[in-house]
Amino acid sequence: MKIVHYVNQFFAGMGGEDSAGTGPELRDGATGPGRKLASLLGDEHEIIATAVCGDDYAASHPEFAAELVARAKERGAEMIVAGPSFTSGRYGMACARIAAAASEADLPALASMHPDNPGIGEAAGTTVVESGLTARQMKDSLERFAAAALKIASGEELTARDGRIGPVARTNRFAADNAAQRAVALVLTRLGGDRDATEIPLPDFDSVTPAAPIADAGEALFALVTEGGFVPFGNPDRLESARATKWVRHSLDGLDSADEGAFMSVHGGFSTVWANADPNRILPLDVAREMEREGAIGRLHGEYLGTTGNGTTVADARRFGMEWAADLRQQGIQAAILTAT
Amino acid sequence: MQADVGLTRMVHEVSELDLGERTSYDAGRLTVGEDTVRDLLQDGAFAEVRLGVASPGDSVRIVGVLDAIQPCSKGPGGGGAFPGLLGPAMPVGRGETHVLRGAAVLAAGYLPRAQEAVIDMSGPAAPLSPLAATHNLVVEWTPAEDASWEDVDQALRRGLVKVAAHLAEAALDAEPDAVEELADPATSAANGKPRVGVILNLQTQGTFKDVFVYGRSLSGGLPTVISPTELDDGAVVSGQFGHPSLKNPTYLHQTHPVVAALRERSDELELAALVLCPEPVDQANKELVSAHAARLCKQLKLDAAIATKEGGGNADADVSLKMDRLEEEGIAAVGILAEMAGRDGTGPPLVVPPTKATALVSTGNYDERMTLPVVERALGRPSIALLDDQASTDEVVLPVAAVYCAQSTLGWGRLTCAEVLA
Amino acid sequence: MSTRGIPFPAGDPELGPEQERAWRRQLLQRALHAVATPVSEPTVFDADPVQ
Repeated sequence: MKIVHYVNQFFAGMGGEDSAGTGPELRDGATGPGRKLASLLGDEHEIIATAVCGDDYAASHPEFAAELVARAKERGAEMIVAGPSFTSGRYGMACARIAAAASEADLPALASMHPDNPGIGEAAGTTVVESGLTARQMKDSLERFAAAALKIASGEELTARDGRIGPVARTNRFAADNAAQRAVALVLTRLGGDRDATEIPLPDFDSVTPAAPIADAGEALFALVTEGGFVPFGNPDRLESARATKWVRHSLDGLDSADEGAFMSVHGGFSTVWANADPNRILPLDVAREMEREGAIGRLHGEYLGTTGNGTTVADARRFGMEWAADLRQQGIQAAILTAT
Repeated sequence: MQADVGLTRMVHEVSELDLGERTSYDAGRLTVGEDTVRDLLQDGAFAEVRLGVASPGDSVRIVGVLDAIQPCSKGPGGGGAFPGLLGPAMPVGRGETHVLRGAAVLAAGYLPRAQEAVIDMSGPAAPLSPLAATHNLVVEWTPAEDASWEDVDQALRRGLVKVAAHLAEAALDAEPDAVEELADPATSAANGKPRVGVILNLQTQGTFKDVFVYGRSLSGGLPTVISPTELDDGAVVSGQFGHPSLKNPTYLHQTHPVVAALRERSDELELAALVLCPEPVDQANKELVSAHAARLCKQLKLDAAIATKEGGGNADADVSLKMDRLEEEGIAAVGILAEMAGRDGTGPPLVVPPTKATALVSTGNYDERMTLPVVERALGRPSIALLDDQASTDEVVLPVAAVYCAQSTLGWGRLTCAEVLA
Repeated sequence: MSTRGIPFPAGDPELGPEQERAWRRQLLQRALHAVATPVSEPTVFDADPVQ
């Protein structure tokens, strides 16, 4: 089979975070971990090209995936594999998106990442195989990746025994008793000493490595971002008041303050009376400008990014976060102040 | 020792509801006197009031449902029911109360900040809503030109309790279908059974997002203990219109499912206390209220408590913090929460999970979509703003989140989640 | 940083206009301090040391 392999800028040897803004490209042959992968796949398969994209670019331009898949298809790709991305969030999200776009284009596809990689949330509808935690486990990860790829290439379904991982879905169904009766039954179980009985397994949240502190706020570029449902008056993008599936960006150029009647909050989870009377209460533009003029802040970014954090799914919120971080970094922003409601 | 005092609930079943010249109740048939009810609802905030009927099995969709109330009365003019709104603001929960079981009075229409709630009286969404199983008098209105939305909200609340008391008054002299003796835990003697409390978190976020206890908000206050029988008399009235599936309308306070479930198991457990708590909007006060509620439960010598919430993600904290503080006090904690696991059910289910307590009951995934079929008629609102003003009678695809009370953590519903590999 | 209420993360409507603006300024100054401070885990910065 003719295979196209996706890696990020780091594994393509283009550099680390400084090259994360690089756009998508297709290179001939195998690159980086793809060379070892190619030998593990054997003579019947060939990595004809390596698809590459910077992690920031991929996170902030979701359309990169369909574009690379289309170019791979033109090049004659019969299968697309992506990773391994270990626990790297943006890279994992990119691998999941590439595999999902390939599945969408009717190409067999496989991504490789660690089960804790936040990108796994984007992997619904495609196949993911488990990798190690870090690139130190590259060898084992590639062996499992190659074995899984061979199985998929032969048309077989991947199972948990092959290291298949993926999102577990919690779907609605009816219980025999109502929730109140079940709660009372659970009280009796709990009083009987059983501490494990529950209908909702407690989640493990992933952790994020904090960014290095900024050296001098007076020299730094700051962005204001918010999940307070903050929008231009009239809500031209129709940002949702609850369960947001998108985020918006609007210019702050030439504005000294977020005035009543110019901005408003569409958040459906609290009374917006105070926010609408003085939108600076959600996005502190007036004081941020003042501090910019005084030199306490080097410069304020010319636009804000915003969404509504109200019943938003964790998968969507995580995606917004990765997209915001990538977008801001591409524009040279060093710090962001997020007002949260 | 003082004898048990409590409430005697005189239950009149309603199996049929229609509009007519005068209000009457006879052998399960409730007739609503249209002119009288319109008079009761009359208020400067309304230009016009309309009455509709929706019964179980009807091909009807009610859109924009606000509050729902079970008809209930303790005597002429309500006899003290709905204290602080209709009756005087004095403790209730004793004596006799007549209820019309199987009937409800609903308001449906537009209010700002009210997220659109939908009830289908038949079809796949009907088993998700307690108000799809009742014969409903639906109140619609046109606001007066000079009325503020706050005026409309208040007029609806005052009007609905008046109508609810008026309808039940028609059954005051009727032979009840059942007579239920409900004990007041305050006066029960110790009996060696595990003492279980109910922690009822009430949303306190200002107009359109508030709940009224004896006519006042708990906002800014500390937890307080009342008798569960006070709920039966309408001491808690909802004015909270966010998060339709998570809503706890007055109807569910009056018929509180956790209280009912504890009463059902009174051979094994004792319903020992009901603790009302505000849901503050900031973390420090959430922590204060939670720690204080746990101490109250300790003073009440509870062995276990069941905590419920109202509202979206941030209210998970009001349940989780209380569960953690209860466990620290040596009181077994069980929480009832809805899951917000995303459209495909693959996201983490809770916004703020407990860190020490573990025992949770799920009322299902908020984000899962369902298809509601075409219906013959709609009440409340002609179109659904959430769906770009699609006609209310169309086939519509909605998240469970929009179905009225589908996931109320007061525990009416049978919805829960099962895990499947995606 | 914890602030004074969900509906107004960068304000406090109970204050007069000038005091509220001073509070917002204090919040932002504390935010500048926070982003310039090394952290290794979730860290709560006190927005309002006086309270």
